[in-house]
Amino acid sequence: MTDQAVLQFGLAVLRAATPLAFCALGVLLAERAGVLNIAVEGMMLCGSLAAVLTAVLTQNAWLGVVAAVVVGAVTGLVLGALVVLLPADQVVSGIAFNITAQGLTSFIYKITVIRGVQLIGPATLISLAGPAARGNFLASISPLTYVALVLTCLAWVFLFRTGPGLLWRSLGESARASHASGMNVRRARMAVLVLSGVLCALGGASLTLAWVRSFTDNITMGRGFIALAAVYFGRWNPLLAVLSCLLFGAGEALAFRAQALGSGINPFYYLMLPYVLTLLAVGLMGRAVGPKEAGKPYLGG
Amino acid sequence: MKSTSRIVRLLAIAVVLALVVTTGVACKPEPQAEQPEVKIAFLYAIANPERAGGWDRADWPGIVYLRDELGWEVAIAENVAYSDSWNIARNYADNGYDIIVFPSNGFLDAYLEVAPEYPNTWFIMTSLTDTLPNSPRSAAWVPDMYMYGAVVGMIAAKASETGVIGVSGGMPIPVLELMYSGIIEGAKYVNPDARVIVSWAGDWVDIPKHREITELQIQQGADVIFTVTGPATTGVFEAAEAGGAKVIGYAADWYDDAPNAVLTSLIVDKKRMYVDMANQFLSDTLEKKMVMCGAEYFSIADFRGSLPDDKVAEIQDLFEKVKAGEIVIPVVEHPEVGP
Repeated sequence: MTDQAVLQFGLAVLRAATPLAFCALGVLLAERAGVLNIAVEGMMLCGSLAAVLTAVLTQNAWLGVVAAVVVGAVTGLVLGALVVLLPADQVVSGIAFNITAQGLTSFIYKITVIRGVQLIGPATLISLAGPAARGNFLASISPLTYVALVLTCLAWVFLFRTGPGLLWRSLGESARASHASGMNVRRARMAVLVLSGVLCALGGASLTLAWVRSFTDNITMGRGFIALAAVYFGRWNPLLAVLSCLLFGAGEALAFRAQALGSGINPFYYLMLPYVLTLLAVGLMGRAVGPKEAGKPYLGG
Repeated sequence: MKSTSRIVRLLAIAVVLALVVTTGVACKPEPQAEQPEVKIAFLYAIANPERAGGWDRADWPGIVYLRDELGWEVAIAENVAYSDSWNIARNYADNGYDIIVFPSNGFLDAYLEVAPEYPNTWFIMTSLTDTLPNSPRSAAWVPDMYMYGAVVGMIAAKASETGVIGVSGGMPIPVLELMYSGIIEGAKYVNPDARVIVSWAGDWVDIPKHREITELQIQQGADVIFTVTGPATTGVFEAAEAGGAKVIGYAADWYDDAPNAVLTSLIVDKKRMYVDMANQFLSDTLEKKMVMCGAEYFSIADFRGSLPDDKVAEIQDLFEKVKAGEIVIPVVEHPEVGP
């Protein structure tokens, strides 16, 4: 393997891992505050459509990111209304949210897109590849990847090295204790979900703005759920969770390379690789204990 | 807190109601100017056939012809899972549809099994098949996909400077394995040293996956790309544009989708199949038969300056000779393109 091939491999890993990293952070922060965010897939879809549509209409990729943030916040509010204010079951609401989001994004995509022509957004944020990437490795990485890496470190520092981070985690361990110490549990969780929605939508945006510049029905193809698995594998630690996103990205990049090099083995075995890696990783990690309150509706005052 | 949750609950109900009402309005069919005489139904495996992968997209001019010029009532079932296709076809037949069209090879089993149950309904296949159902009212327009592949291979080998051609596909279905064998033979006819790299994505819709596959092919030296997949075709264009490679569009003219990445498209005139079918249906001459559609159904889209004129002329010349039968690419199957 030449240096060039190694660099291209690195870029492929980062491209695949960036959307996962954003979503994993979103899920992790929500679960640390005691809310299961199964709706990550739907939020990601909403963000990816909002981002690429806005970017195509305004020809400005950064405005696409802004649109994803806004839409992500709205999805967070909707989910919050369901699982925090009502409160409905978090798993069922999350699944319902995902189904609704898939239908809604497909519908909006169908009625808004110019007939007969695919969406192609501006290339500002794209992660370069191939000959274009030969100049400079660091400059070939999408700005959104840097954002994801910085946010990961910030999330770790916030959760484990600051006072508000401690309160945040206590909310995920015992909502009653947090309430007793004067926190407004519902309001805090609403805020958490808005932030979580924004991060998941950014994950979607990095898929459609930094990787492929287009949209199609269900473009996320379950990547949100892989991010969910990454959080469990990463034991609710932002650094480990994002590391497992990178591992999954490496599996995906490796799968294609193995197929391209050719060895006479059925290509579907290679395509299985990332999923087998995820499964193995989760299995090998053994039993992980998550935030105690995650998944439990808070019924107190 | 009680009052808040009640408000939220009311709001939730209002939102759901609003959604139901708007969806209902959006789905209401537009009033027809006149009562259509013929009802025809199409089945598609993925959503949005008009904009999806090449084969379904190539159907669209035919659908527009039937709907707008003949005034037929055209029903389109999208997102039909192969396992659901039996019931959806039966449903159309039960509801008085005169013709049911299966534009994809993937529906072959449903086509063969449902047709005998409805001897008064026409069942049409416009893709690869080697048998007709046991029903008097069944016909198939069968394109010669091996020859299609051979022409693609010739164009690609002529246009390629590196001699490496990247070919990718969604799933390794028989029709594609046949077509890709044709590409290898066609490319070798033009350039005996040509190398064809075949990769499979494992699905028709995952755009990022297709992008990574194409990019790898470009890294291995491919400068001409061909793909048969669904909505994920955009991923292939994206990679080709970034990597400076050119794509040969499948079945429909793809120029508007990616003006910088498209070399040309090898168009399949599926409209002609539907025009033939409609004329024969209307004049009561439609009969049980299999129509073989060879190179006369193919055409090369305008290159729009993507190649020097002399190369374009050479390609056109080759294509004319294939059409006239002067060049015959013998059928050699390459099992190595499959899984």
